[in-house]
Amino acid sequence: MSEPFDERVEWRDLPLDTSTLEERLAGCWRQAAESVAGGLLRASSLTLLVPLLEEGLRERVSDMLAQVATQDPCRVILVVQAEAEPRASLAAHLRPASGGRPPIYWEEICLEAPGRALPRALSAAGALALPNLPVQVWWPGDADLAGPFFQRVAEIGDRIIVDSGQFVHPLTGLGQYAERMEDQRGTVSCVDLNWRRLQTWRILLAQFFDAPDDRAFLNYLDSMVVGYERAADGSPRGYAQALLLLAWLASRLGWTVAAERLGRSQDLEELVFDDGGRWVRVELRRTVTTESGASGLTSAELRAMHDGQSGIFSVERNGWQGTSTAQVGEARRELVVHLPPNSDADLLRAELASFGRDRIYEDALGLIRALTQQAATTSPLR
Amino acid sequence: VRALLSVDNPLREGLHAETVADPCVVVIFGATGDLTHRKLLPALYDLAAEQRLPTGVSVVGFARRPFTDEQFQADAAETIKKFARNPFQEATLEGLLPGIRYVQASFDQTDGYQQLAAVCAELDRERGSRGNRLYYLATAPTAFGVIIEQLGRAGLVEGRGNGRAPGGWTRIVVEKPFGHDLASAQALNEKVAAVFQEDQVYRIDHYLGKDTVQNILAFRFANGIFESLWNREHIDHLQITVAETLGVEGRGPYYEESGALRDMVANHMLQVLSLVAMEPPVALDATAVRDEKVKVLRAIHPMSPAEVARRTVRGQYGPGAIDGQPVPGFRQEERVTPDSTVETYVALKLLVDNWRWAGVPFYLRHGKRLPKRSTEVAVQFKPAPQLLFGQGDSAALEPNVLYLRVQPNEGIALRFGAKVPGPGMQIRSVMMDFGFGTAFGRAPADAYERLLLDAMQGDASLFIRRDEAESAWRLISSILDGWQHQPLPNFPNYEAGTWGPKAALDLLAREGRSWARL
Repeated sequence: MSEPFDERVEWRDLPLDTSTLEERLAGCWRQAAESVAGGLLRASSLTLLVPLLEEGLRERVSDMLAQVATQDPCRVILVVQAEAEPRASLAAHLRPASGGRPPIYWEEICLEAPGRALPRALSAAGALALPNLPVQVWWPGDADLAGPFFQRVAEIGDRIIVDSGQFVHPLTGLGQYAERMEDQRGTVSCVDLNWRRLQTWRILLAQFFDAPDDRAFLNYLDSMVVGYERAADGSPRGYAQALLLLAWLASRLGWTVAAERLGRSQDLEELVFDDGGRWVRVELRRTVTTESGASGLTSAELRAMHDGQSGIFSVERNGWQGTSTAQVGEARRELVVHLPPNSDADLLRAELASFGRDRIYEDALGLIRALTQQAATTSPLR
Repeated sequence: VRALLSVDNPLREGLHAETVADPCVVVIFGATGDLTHRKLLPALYDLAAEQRLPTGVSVVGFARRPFTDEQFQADAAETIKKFARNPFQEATLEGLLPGIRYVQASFDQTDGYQQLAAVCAELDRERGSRGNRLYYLATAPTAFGVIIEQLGRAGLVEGRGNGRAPGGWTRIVVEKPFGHDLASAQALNEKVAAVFQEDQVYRIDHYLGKDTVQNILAFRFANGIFESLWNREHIDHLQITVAETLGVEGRGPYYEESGALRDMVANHMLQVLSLVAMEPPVALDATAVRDEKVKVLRAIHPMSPAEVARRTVRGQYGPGAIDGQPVPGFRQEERVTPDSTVETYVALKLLVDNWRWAGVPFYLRHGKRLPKRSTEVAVQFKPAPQLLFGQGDSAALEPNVLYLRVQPNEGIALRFGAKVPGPGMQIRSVMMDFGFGTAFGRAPADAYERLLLDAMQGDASLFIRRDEAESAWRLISSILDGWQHQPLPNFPNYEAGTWGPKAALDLLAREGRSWARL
């Protein structure tokens, strides 16, 4: 028996040479297998490629990877823009067995290179991707979605995960993401952690219309008001979520962007949609400024008039709690609902688990692209 | 105007539960019992924590213990903190508590049901549950009949199982055992049918809610390569084992009424067998899946007394040792009669008389106080038709076996021969092993979460239909009857910590086979 396998074994300052890296990793796992009674049973379900072009993200990304890889054992390949000459480091990780669950093993390859040598690092990443398994790309931070590097990364991946909550210009960024998605013609699926943050809101709004009696109101919506926070640090996550919620509802109900755009101020954006000849007025309201970057939606309200009855359906958030209210005519129903803030690691875990395209998100992106085209002709983009 | 809207909710598309559960009132009979505390309330919390419960779900506990709403809510909060799978979050609980109520009454008390009707109506108004009811019988089986009668008499069974009638739907979940033989199962089903339509009845066997049991369906019907081998042409025999290291754990009186055959084979093991042996269903819906399962059960003919003598073995454990610790024999267990004749071990050879499986034996074994805890299906394939390799070179060559491990070490393994590196052509068996735990780091949901949600959604695929339950009992009753005609084995006939009576080894050995090593 060899020395016991530690929970993390690493090598630094290795040449950026794929044969050397594979040999080192194979040797590490051989050594680990000898130290584990009964041998070592290891599985990988994917390669996770993580481009890190922004400074200051490394620690957050490492924390998230540690949480994610215990659920989806994988080979993580980080491509990091750095000042130094191209080099690599390796780490092999173990989450020990506990509570009747077997141990989980995963490995991390970090390829560092200055900007000019990033294509070389990326070519090594492509060669190091595990054969016969999907490659998912997680792009933390803002992304130059129109740039050539994003294009190269997209060629390696089967699926791209961005976080539009990190986009500095959400409307532009989402519009570009929609364009990239179209360029790939369905060969690469495009998803978004910020979209997943909206899931609870989508469920709560959808629930208003599960009852056949109330469902008819969906045909007669005349207004939608979405409230969002913008963090004091400038994070536009709330605005991106408001856009996505609007785009989701509009795309599900077949609304199209009307030529007319009502107005925009710092705290209010007014839009008009065409629902088969009927106008639907939409307001995106910035309601609060939060202290931290954890901004999001604060409220969503839908109003309709059908058969002489008014219907008002709203969800309001207050911390982790919220109130879901349906008022149809005189009848009012109010429920306390739970709006938990999912951690970014939870969101990424959930996204990795649901491999495949998200047609609903793609439809919503398509609508946002139409909005960007309209915005380009009427006013400066955000 | 989109015509589609009159049928489906377009906002539901792409959300994780497209077929969404309607808001409803879940009424738990036996609300202060062990099942409610350990499984049902934690499962409801876990569903809420993962946002799989619709808003507006309420829970009404119905039991004899004198609780107020507040006391039952406090009791629920405590049990959730103790047994829920998800980390406890006050906010999730606060979302649930306003919908938790309690009705104190005995099960035969008519005014208790009137009170229940009033509480449910109030919840409908407050929480929008629109008359939808899910009754859950988490009581001793002796109470099933009276609760069902009282529900009917009080007018609390309206609507249909899946209907969209204005009055909402009504469903009832019935816990096992569904009777203790064919006659009692039929009698219980008659009582149920006098009040409920079959599409309102959800007979629960929590084994079917386990991911690894459902994976049998995924393995067979989501992969193209195995189904062509899944028949008498390629398979020599199958073994289904449920081995337990535990004894009766204080459940002596219950166990003496049931025994190993009724407790495990009549439900869990025959359900697993039917999933392994069924034909591909035309759809993954309740009718299609259960149609195919019941065909398998009907193809296993009841045994004559002579067949019972030849094809079954029963055993009872005596004192021995498990994991190096001495353990008492069954007759020395607490609350077990000292001359008990109940079996704690059973081994069976079953034949599925249809085109796919004609002549392929299904061996089932289940026992308490066996050396290891393990549930698995072993599918042994026929040997290669021609042995190319000399006997000396392939002495260790064993047949291919596919193992579907249900618990523990959940996964799938395939045993096949490989050449040992070096000169000559020596063949050795090796294992290709897939472990759920190593490939998927996330913990599986509890079976009750899946099954509760399915019942709320009106999906009965993983519940047992009346004809399935009765077909299973038809076989089990024939074995019980056969045992009546045989002399009682000399109990105890196996030592705790061993693999059962010698007769069980002989059952396979006389056909040139042996039990899988677990």
